[in-house]
Amino acid sequence: MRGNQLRRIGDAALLVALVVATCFILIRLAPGDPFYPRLDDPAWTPERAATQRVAFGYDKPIRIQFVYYVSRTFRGDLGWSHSRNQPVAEALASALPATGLLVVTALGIAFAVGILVGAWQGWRRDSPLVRASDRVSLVLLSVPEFLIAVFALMGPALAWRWFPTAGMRTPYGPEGVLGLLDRLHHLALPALALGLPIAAVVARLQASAMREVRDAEFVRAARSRGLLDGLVLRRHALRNALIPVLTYAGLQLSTALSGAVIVERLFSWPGMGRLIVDAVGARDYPLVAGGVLVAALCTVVGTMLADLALRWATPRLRARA
Amino acid sequence: MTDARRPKARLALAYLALLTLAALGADWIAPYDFREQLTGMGAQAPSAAHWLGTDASMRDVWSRMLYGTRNTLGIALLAVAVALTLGTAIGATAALLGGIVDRLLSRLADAFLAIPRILLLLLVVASVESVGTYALALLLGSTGWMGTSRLVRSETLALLATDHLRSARALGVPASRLLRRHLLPALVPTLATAGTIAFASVIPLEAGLAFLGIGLPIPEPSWGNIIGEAGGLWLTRWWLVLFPTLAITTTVIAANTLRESFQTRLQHGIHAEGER
Repeated sequence: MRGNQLRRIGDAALLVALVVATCFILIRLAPGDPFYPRLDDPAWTPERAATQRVAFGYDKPIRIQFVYYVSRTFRGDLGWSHSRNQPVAEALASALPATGLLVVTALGIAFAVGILVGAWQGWRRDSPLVRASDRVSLVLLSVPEFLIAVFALMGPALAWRWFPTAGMRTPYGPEGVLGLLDRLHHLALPALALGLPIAAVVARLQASAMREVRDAEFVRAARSRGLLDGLVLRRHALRNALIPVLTYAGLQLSTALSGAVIVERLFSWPGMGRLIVDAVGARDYPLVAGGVLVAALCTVVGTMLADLALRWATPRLRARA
Repeated sequence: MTDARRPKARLALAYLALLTLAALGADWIAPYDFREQLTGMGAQAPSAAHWLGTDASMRDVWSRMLYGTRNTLGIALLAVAVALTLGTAIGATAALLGGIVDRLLSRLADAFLAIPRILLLLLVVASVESVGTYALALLLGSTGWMGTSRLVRSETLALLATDHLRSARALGVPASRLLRRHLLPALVPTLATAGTIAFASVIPLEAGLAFLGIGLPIPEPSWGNIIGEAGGLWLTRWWLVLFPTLAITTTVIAANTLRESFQTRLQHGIHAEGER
C-alpha cells in the first residue's frame, strides 16, 4: 500500500520533470531565433540582440542552459515578456483566473450533461429518442469547439442579441447581484461552446459503460430483489458505470484548455489562451513557452486530483494496481 | 451490433472516397484557380456564377474548397501516417522491453498528453515565419502519437501473453522477426482504429490552426482558413463559415463512424479469442 503510493508520487514527479524537459526541448528544437531581426521594432540592432542573447543565457552550452531553465522555472521565474512589458509569471497569473473560471464551468457542464444524458441513453437502450440523441452527440463530438463558438456567436449573440459577444462583464456595468448575473450572462456562451463537445464524449463513454453494467449480475440481482428501477439505476448501476468516465476526467482538462485557446480569442475572453495566441502573433517567445508550461502543469495536477478522486470513490482500485 | 453498423461504415467510407476523388480531381472540377482574384467588389453571397460565393479577395469559394480539400486531407493523411509510425514504434518498444523503458515511455506519452496539443503546436510555430505543408503534417503527426502508442502498447502486451507468441519467444525468435512476422500483422486492426482516431482529431486541429492564421501560408486554401477569411463578419459572410463547417463536420463524422465500427470489430475479435 505504502509502496504503491510512493510509486505514484515518483511517477508524478517523473511526469512533471518530463513536461518541463519537453517544453525546454521544444523551445530549443524549434527552428528560428527569438532574437531575430524585427521589422516592426525600430530599436532592434544586432548589438542589442547580442546583449539580449547573453542576458538570456543563450550563449552558454545547451546543458548549462537546461540547468538554468530548470532552476529558474522551479523558482517561478519564467522570463520577461517583451510584448506585455512585464514578467511572464505576472502576465500569466493575471490571466489564469479567467481561464480557470471558463474551463471549470465548461467541464462542469460537460460532466453534468454528459453523465445524465449518457446514463439515460445506456439505461433505456433502444428507443427512437435514444437513437436521435445518439446522433446529436455524434455530430457535437465531430464539430470542433471553435466552430460551435462561431455558430454561438452567429445565432444567439449576433443575430438574436440574447448574449453579449465579448469580454467577461459589461464595462462600467452593475455591481453586486446584478453584476454576478452580468458575469454569468457573459460566461454562458463560451462555456457552452467549450463544454458541449466534451459533454458528447462523456455521454458516449457513460452510455457504453451503462450498457455493460446493465447486464451485470449485481444489477440483475438488485432487480430480482424487487428494487425499483430508479433505485437500481442510482444506487447500483450508475455508481459502477461512473468509473470509466471519471478515469477519463483528468485528460479532459487538457482538451478543454486546448479548446479554450480559440474560444477565448473568439469571445475576447481575457484568459491564458488569448494571451498565448496574442503572444504568438507578437513573437513573444518566453510568454508562449511559459503559458504552455503552466497549462501543462495544470493538466498534470488536474489529472492527479481526478485520479485521487477515483481512488477515493472506488475502494476496489485502492487495493489493486 | 456489427451488422447494424456495417451500412453506416460503408457510407462513411464511400463519403471519404468521394472527398479523395474531389481532392485529386480539383484541377478538373474547380471552375477557377484558387489564387485567382476576380474583378468585382469583395465578398459575394452564393450565386449561379459562384456556387459557394466569393471571399473578401474575390476568390471563388467552391474552387478554394476543392483545393482546400486536397490540402486538408493531404496534411491529415500524412500526419496520421507519422503518428501511427511513431506511436507503433514507441508503444511496441515499451511493451517488448518492459521495465524501466516501459515506465519512461509511458510517462513521456503522459507528458505529451498533459500539454494541450494546440499549445504544443503554437509553441513550435511561434518561432517560424510560416509553415509549409510537409512541416505542418510532420508537426501534427509528431504531437499526435500518444493515443496510438497507448493502444499499441496494451494490445502488444495482450498479444505477448498469447500461447503462440510465448512459444515463438521461447523458441528464441529474434525481436525484429517477432515484430515483423507476428506482432505487426496482428496489430493491423488496432492500427486501423488508432488511425481513424488520429484522423478525426487532426482535421479539427488543422482547421483550428488555419483559422488562427497559423496554418498554411496565405494563398493556399484549407477548410479552416476559408472560415478565417470571414474576418469576424460571421453573419454578413455566413457562406464562408457554413460550407467549410459542413465539410469539416461531415468528414469527422465519417471518421468517427468508421472508428466505432472498427472498435466494435476489435472488441469482437478479442472476445472471440478469449472464448476459444
